[in-house]
Amino acid sequence: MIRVIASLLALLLTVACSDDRARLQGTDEIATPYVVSDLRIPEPIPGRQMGAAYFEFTNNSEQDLRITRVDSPELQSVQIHESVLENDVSRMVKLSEVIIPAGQSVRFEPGGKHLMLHYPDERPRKVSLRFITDDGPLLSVATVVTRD
Amino acid sequence: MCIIARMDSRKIFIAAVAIIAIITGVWLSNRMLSPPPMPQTATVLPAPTELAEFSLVAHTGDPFTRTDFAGHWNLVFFGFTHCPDICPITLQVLANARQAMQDQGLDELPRIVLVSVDPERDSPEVLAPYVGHFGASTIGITGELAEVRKLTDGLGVFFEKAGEDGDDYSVDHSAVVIVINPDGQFHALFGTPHEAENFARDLPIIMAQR
Repeated sequence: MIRVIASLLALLLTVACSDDRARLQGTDEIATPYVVSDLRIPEPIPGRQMGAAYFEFTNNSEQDLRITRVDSPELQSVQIHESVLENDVSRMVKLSEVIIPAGQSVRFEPGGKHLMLHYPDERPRKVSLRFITDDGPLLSVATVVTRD
Repeated sequence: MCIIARMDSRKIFIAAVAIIAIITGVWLSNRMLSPPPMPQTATVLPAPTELAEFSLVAHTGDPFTRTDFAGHWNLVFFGFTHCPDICPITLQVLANARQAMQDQGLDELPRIVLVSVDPERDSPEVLAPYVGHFGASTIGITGELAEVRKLTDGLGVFFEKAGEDGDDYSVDHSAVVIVINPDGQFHALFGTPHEAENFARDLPIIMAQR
């Protein structure tokens, strides 16, 4: 009986750990309660210096998280934006902060919240993004700019 | 015996003809009485309206006036190249819809037109590589702000600068897609949200019913 319980516990631990590893993919911060997944940075349209970044930000901690800024050493600037569609009118709103509620995820996706990336003349192949809170840098993620 | 057999085959022939006639009648009446397909998401104007006179420039640098809309079905979107999200997404939806119509085997395909609501920054030189990204059938139009307004006001399309901080500003704008027919008239419009399958389904119906 004890062996069965021990085996079940071991199985549960294995499942929990593999889930954590999967969620942490794409981040360079191991053992953080904050996870950026599905990071996608499409290549800007030819001739344009503006692009976007899309991802999901998960806050596994027990406290709300307030992201106030994102920066990147490869880019001229990064702004947190939200595309809003109201009564058939499209507006792009610059956000001064994004709250990720405790235990929840916020998606940055086409047509919604996204990062607006201002590229330099020489386009980087890879872009890293550093998420910053009032307490300073929180975590960095990086990915290759994709054609899609 | 032979007479009976002849009578039976005559009856069978008459019955077969009657059945074929009934089936044909039902098929024809269904075909004639069933309502023609209607657009599900597009709004078609009761009567197409003429566009206002305007004088703009295409991405090629050639002049573009209202008569240049004629000769094609046009899917017209109002946006700007500094917009990294909604504008490229919408233009890609329109390009995908055009491709879907081509895959359906339609002979007549629409032209995709981006009218810049940020003519200050969107010169023909800026527009050319941008619209080229969405295929050779996509064109860009820009020009003097007052001339853009002549076109947009007549179509009920709104746009306004927002959050101005030097060159760092956005433009709020109507996200509808206007359909201009081959006579160069405002014919229909698609409201948001935009899905390629809505255009690929409704536009051929609109084109066929003209």
